[in-house]
Amino acid sequence: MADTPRRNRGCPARRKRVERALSVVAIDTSRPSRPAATGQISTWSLSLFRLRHWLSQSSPYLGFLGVAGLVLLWYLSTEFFNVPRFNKLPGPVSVWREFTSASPTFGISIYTPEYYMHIFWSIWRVLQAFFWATVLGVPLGLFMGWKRTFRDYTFPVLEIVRPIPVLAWVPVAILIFAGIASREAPVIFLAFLATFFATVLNTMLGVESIDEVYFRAARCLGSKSRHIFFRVVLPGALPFIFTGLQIGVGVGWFSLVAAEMISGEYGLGFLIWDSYVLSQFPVIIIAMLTLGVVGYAFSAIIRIIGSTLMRWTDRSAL
Amino acid sequence: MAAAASVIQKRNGGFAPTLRRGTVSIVGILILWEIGRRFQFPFLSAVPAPTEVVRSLDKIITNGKFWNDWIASFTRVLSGFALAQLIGVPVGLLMAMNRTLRYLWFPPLEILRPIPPLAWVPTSIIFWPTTELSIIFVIFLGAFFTVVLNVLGGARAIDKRHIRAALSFGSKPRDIFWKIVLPATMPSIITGMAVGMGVTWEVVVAAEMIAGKSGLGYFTWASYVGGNYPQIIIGMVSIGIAGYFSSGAIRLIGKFATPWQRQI
Amino acid sequence: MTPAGAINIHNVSKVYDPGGANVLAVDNCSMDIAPGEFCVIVGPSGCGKTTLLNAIAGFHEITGGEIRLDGRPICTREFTAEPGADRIVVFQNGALFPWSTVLNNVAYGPVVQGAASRPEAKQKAQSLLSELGLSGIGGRYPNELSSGMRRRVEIARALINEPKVLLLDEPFRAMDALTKGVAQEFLLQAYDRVRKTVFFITHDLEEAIFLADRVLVMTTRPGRIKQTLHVDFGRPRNFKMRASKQYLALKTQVFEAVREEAVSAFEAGERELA
Repeated sequence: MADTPRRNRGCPARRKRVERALSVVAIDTSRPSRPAATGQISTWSLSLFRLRHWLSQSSPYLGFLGVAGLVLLWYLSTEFFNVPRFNKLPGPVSVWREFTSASPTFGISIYTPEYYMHIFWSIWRVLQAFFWATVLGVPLGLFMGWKRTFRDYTFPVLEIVRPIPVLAWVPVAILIFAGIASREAPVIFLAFLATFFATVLNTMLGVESIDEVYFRAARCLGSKSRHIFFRVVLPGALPFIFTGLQIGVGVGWFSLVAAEMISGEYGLGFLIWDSYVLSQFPVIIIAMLTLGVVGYAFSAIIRIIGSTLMRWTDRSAL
Repeated sequence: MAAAASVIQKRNGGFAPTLRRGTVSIVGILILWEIGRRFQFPFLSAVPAPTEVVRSLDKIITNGKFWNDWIASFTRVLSGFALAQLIGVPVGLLMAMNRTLRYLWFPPLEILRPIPPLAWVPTSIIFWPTTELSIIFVIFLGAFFTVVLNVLGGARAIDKRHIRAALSFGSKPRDIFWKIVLPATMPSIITGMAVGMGVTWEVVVAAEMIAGKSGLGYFTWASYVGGNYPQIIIGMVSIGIAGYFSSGAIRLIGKFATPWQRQI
Repeated sequence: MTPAGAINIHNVSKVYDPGGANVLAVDNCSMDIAPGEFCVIVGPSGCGKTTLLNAIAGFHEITGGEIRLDGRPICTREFTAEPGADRIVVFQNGALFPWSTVLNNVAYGPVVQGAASRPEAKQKAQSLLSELGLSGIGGRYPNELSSGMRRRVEIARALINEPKVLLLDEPFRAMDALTKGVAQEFLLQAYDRVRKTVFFITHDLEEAIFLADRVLVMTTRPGRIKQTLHVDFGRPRNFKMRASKQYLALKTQVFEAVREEAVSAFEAGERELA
């Protein structure tokens, strides 16, 4: 038949070879092509379609298997077989029991307010750090990317300070903020530093990635400097800015937890260290997993905000 | 023609202004810092001034223990980093090539990844017999996820047309791996290494502060605790330099490993 | 009455200095373009025609000669006038702002020059789009449109500002031949409406003859004007003229000259500069 696609004809051996070779880089030949006119199909039925298709593939089940396997491994090594070094660690059963008990042995479970207080403090600190890093970092990055002169003055200083690991600042941070808010400020400052560098760098890169042609078009249409800034530089750099914010939140969390462990009061990092010192091992795991979940949620939120604001990006690239 | 050329030269400006401006700003900040300390500016005065740091540097460089700390940190960094590469690169490549493995391993990795490496420190200390091993393990974790993600991303982004071209020459899957997939992923591997190196230093410093008895992180923390503040700055700058050169070394290796990416 | 949109290019030279090589891109090029004339420059890639266009637009400097717009020097050895809305460029690969809707793109010029308020400019943009047969796409983003449509919007974006000169840098280069033909007719219709001076560069000989009042053939690097050809077809033109004897005669006339340049560019094998 004339309209049979070519690759279904011909010898099966060749087809087998092609498929195996394509699978070398796991090319997803199973993904459905997008429906053509997005305006005509409702988002609801589209989502339903995608959900059904996703469930019909092997990926979600394998994923579930993978996670379950991990938990199983954890369980077997710590509580079931009592493997030598592993048995010192708390296993999933004890962690779960502690986490879901109304009156937990060590005082932290989903029923205790202290748990949520620790979460709150960590999130509150990250939000403050993130706020300042964005408010200071994005404009700085935009200017650095836009004006060569400004960049020449500011970039060297940044590049010298940036390689110093954020946590190496702990003593200096404590010294600087010794007078005011001496408990909170150093911790927030460290998270701020980490997020700040990521934000500035990515924003700057974002501006530099804007094709020269857009600047030229704007200029010959009669733009003045402020127009170029707000209508070319800022929107053009937006994708990179959001990437930077995502990365920034990640490293911000990382630094926050470390700072809390070293010198904090309340917060998930503090909780981890404190429960270690007090030998309340299941709580360590609870805190670690909570960190993972909250950190992931933060990145996801930023990603969603980003894709909503930037609906104009090329869909075909997704 | 020569006159025109010189006009071009002048207009471009060349490197000189960039260098000049950079030097001015760095020197300017150092001077401000010094003044801030002398005149007791609110925040700046808490930090030891450049001149004090330099004086302290004099004493430290001759002290053998300082260089031991360098060696200790570097040893940990290299061990953890090498481990992360040795395990991470194959894992990343495997996941890129085998769909089942990818679907199987990706979710557990994505669940573990957001947990900051330092949050693993207590668990690591409980588990491993020595402090040294526990620090290296945490370093390994820090770099591992970065490496896997970069390798996975790079391998999956390979242009399918290269594979198809190889196929039309009659290549077997083994050839495709060694001659196409591996070289094409090399830039991502190198990127993963460079970023991983940065993460590694972050983790080393913190781990040493929390649980170490040697190393540059420990040195910095101990200086604070011992009241020797100028040494804090020395410690910080040392770590920065160490990290910078480590990443630089990686990028240099990268240039040799990917000669086709040379810019004209 | 002062002529609007007369361009005088007088002995213009441009030396590039990539890596110290002192490349002479344009060598003593001269031409006079009358107001309202549709002038097309044809030449192989890398011959310097884009350089010339960029100099007129104000993006590049020149190292010799001068360019005047309506008697006012806009580009000389010492001085290059800022790019402005009197000479707007339509770029090769399109420069519609991807982050703005079609309407906002077209309304950009008037708003930014302070010539109209936002709502007024949008009104004006909407009516211009309708006149050009592009109504209904105002709310779409550029990446949702086909390349042909994008190019048309970009032409609208330029025309709304009533520039003295419209500069087009191989605007239809990246389009397939069929779409190209339709886009060319669109451009001619727009030109007939406003009769502004057009400076159009291309490497496509057929396109040049179809569109132009006057075709200038440029040599390979270093570029200078080799031959001038007057196209005496009346306006409005349509695609049927491409099969006429007159058209074929014109084509033959210029073909030899252009081909010679194309061959030497091919053999020289030099990388094209921006």
